[in-house]
Amino acid sequence: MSRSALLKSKGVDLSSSEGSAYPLEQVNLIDQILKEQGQMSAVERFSQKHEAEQEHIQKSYYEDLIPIRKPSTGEQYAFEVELDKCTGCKACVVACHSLNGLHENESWRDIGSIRGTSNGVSEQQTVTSACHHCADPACLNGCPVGAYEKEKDTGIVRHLDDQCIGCQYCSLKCPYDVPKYDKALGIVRKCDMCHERLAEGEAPACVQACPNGAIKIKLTDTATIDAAAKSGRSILPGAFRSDYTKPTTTFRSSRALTDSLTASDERELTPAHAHTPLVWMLTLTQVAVGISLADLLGSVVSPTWMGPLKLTLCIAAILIGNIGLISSFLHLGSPRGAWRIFLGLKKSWLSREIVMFSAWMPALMAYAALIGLPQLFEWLPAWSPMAALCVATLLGMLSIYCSIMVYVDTQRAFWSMGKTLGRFAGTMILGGFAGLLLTEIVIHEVVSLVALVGLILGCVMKIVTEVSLLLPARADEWSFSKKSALLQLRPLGKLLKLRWVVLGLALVAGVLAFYLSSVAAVLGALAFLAVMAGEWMERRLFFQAVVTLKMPGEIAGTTHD
Amino acid sequence: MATKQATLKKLIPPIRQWKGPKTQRLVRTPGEFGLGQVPAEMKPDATTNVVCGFCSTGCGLNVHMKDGQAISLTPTTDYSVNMGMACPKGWEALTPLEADDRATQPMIRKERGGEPVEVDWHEALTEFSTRFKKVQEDHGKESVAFISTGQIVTEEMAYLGALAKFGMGIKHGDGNTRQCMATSVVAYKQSFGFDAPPYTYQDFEESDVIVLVGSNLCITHPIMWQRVERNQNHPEIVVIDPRKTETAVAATQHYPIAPKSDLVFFYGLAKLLLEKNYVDEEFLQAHCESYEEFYAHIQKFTLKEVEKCSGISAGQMEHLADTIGRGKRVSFWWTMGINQGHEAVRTAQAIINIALMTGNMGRPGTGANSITGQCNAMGSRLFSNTTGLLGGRDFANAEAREEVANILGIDTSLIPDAPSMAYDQIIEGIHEGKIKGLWVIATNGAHSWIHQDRYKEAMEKLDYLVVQDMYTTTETAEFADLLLPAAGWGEKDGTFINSERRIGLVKKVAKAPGKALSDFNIFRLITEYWGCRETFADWTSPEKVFQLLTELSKGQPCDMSGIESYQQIDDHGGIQWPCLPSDIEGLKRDNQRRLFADGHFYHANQRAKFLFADPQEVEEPTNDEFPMILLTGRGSSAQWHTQTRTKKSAVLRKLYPQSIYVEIHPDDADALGITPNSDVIVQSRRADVKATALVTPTVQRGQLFMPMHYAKANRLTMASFDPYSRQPSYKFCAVAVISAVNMSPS
Repeated sequence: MSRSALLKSKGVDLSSSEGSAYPLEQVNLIDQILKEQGQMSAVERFSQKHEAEQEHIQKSYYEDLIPIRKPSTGEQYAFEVELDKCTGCKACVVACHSLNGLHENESWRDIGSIRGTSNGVSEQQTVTSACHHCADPACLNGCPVGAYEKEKDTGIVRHLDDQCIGCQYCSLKCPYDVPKYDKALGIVRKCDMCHERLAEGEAPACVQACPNGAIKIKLTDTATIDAAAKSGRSILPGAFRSDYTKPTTTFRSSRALTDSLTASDERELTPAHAHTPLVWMLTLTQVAVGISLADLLGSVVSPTWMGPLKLTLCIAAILIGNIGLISSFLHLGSPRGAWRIFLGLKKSWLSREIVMFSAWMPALMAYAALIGLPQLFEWLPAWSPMAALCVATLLGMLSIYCSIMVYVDTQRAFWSMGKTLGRFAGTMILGGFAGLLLTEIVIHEVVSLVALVGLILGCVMKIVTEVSLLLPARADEWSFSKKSALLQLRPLGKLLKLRWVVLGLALVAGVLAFYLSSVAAVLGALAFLAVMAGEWMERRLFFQAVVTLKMPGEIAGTTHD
Repeated sequence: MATKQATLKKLIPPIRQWKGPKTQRLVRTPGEFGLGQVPAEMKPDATTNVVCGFCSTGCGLNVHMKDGQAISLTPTTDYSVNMGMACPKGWEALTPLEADDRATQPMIRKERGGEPVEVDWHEALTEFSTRFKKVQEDHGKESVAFISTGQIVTEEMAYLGALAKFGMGIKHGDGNTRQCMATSVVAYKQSFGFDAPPYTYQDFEESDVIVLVGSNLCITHPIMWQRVERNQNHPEIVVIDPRKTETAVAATQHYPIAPKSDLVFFYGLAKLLLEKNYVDEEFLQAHCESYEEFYAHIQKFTLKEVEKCSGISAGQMEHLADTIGRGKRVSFWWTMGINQGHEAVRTAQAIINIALMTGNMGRPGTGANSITGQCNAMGSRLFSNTTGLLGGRDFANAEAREEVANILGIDTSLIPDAPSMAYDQIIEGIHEGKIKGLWVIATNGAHSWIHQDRYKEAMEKLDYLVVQDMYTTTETAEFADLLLPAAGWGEKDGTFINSERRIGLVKKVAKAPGKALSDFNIFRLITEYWGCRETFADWTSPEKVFQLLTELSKGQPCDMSGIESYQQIDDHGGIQWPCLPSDIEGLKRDNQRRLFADGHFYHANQRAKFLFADPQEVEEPTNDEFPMILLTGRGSSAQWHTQTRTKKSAVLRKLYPQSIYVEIHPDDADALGITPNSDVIVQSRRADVKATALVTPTVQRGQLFMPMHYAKANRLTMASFDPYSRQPSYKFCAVAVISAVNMSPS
């Protein structure tokens, strides 16, 4: 606003000398001062130090904290943390963020603490940790597209940001919660030990920034790493057992930090990420495979009864299955590179899962073609459709097995083989027979005993599995199983209750549909929808009630302001 | 052929994509300027050192500039304070400047509780002077007061104090420094004759015994702890603190005394030192007075009495006395655990007395050393013109008033002949109807002041409240009738004085947003609009005012007349007071200077005084209804006070719990049915506050600890004050705690 306009807007009469107590010069002064405020002069006014300095002037502070030579064969770089010197300032976290130009709240270092009484002494210990650059990195092993590389000459576990498809499976695989997803970029990123700095004899950001020199880079060899990872050992109380990934970081302390010390956030009941697209995918693909399975089993019992149902069932399986698969695709942050999913086949269950599902859907469609357009395939033998159904169902079940292994392979108690099998296979059976039941009502207007028994069996399987995951809530001993149970009962209590109500509803509607053929259509539809909704909720609980494996954290305290 | 291959390569993506736009984002490149590698996008074209604006450590931050504006920063390698290191706040110092809730335009709130509307500076300043003048006309000049801060540069503080008192006729003004340093000020003044922390940070490295009292140095002043870590003498590190803090864990000895048993504890310790003959008689005779009276006074503080009050056994006391007595260079350091107590001044002096009687004064690695809180609390102590007259003088001293009037070229009659009321008296003055207008600058009392609800009630009672701040959203700004948008640290020039008396330079390296102005510029405009231009004709730029201040310091213990310019401060990496012209030459050789090497203190007889008193009961002892003691203090190194700045950085937010929590001993938790990390309600006579329980044996049974950074903490605290320093006692109030798990609907 110009000065005269400003004055005018204030109702100042410029012509009158006594019109205002605030003469023109005051407004002039405002303009002048605003202008002065905007002038930047620090660079010109003050001498430039180190203008010509090429060498890193911090060097004298960190030169003892990094190795003087490169790793030789059988060796690698590793972090070493002197816990006696880690006194909780947390500068390393912010220095990593700042010196690496990371996003707003991104840092490749985290801070937590362990506390408790150790040999009668009250203890608390801050813990700084980054990527442990494991000898057997779970992130690398789990990545479906080969977006990780363990550098041969340095042992640094590098992440290929342009290779990553943003599936976030590495975050689940890493027992230290290291790779972090960046929504804006659609990929995960992680610590690269400032490899460019190390290559030039500069210390990594965190090493440079620790006021007490608590973080070092040292050289370690395979034998040392293996010894430290012997069964039962972990790098720190509260950290996951080391034999899983063979982490290379060592934490040193002059004090006895026994297992009686626990992470400050250990008892925090914060639900984990819901992974909604995966909830859809894991529910729908299993229901789709279940429908094929019901078709197959029904055909074994009574081919004539099943005859008119087959095409409907198959089309339903294709539709439901495809929605599931598309949903899983939506989960990817950077789907363009997804064609590389075969790269991880050797070790990654996720890679195997995707490949298997990619084989399953065409097989299912082939079966649909055989029964939908029989005139085109008259030249094939008569058992072909049955064989195709067998193949499709088998491939589907193998895919589900891969799905199960994807989670079992993350080493979380809540996702153990028995429990995950019970959940996923239960969904398959329950969903498949609920689908059969509904289809029977639509086409035959009555429900077969096969469908009802399948439905009840599915329900029993689910109830047994899920109740067994809630029972640890009553245990005296604290464990991650108890934590998962408490997560379901407390913060996720509403969802859990709803899930049981909906499952009960599905069961009641299914049984009633068997007996009350007059309203069977409504009841059948209700049973099927209730099964779908119930399984969707169960799958959400599956993701949210798991205990994220991680290094000790701090309490989050997210409930009050 | 080659081109064909190249095209093919372009068309078919590689199996392993090692390069690409996402990889490119993280490439590091030599930053030059001695910086080592920096993110390629953040390569600077210049660098310059700026002193940090959070705490009193006063670290040097090397700001990376591009096209005249700050883009990033790293700790300054060759700054003698921090030697290339910084705490998280320092690393993130630039981020809060870019917050969305920055005040960018003056705002007027037409009615209390209403939405403020943006106005231009002319209207804001017109309103400022008419409204305050009206209050003064209606209720007397004394009815308008101001609350200043330890967060703005010295030049601004001095301008504020001078403008308010000499220009606007305001009589009462105080600073938030009352909450952190008032005790040390009074303790030093009475003991040494001037408010003079005697140490230099090098002392941390030169001691063989370091005694930290009520100071969680690792968290509150991480860079000072760095200096402790650098100590090559394998020092005994003694921590005296009710909690087993991070510092206590890192120490070699920890004495978990009962809260506010400190005075008894130190008198008992002094008695023991005396009995064990660890006394430096020569030093006492040559440089101290009234120590014999002190000896008589401490006789009743037997080891039995000490154990009864503090819980520290005779054996432990003996060990501590031996450690101190046998130490050759013993330094004593204290922070808020001492300063924020109901008898804080005498407690600080009890520590000073021990340093004096053991002759640990004036030599490297010794001293009775108060560690300051805010970045410019020390500037405020000398130049805020509130409790003391400019340059560490007394308002009551006619000669001093004359001196100041002469230097400033103003009429002596403009200078009040008495100090201001203290912060708590101003708040009570509002309740009593004596204070009707308040001007709050760069502080957030509605969060930080003790017994917060009563503070907020006071704000509502005011006729007119002006808040001058960087942000529109502070708890105090919510009450403001007028909000003046201020530029922050890094957006203006000036100086800070750190804990070791080092004057450091703050530079304008970032543009203030919108129409925000530096506090200095706001004061210039108010001068004009209030109509006292003549009085402040020389106050045109921060550096000119700095020269006035050096003039004002001449002949005072804080003499800094040797400093000629900002450039000189910059060149030397900060300069400690005193700095006479004759001192400048020596700075190049040694920029670590301490006081009292000659044993001459600032009293007229050059002797240090032993001061002492009988311990008093706390104002709110525990009882059956409120059986627990609530302690408050710093939560993490990533949080600063009321969080107006630190909560604006996403990466700092990662480093502390997002909502209020309370630390409780496992035995207490068990007895009360409180499970770890569950909800509890902490109750005091003043309020109930819901928090998350952090069950930890690092607090003692019967005690709770709550970090002060969460606004609700001070709803619980009890307004009691040290009688000499008027500093609030944040370290003791009676509370009860119950589980909230069964109360919340689930």
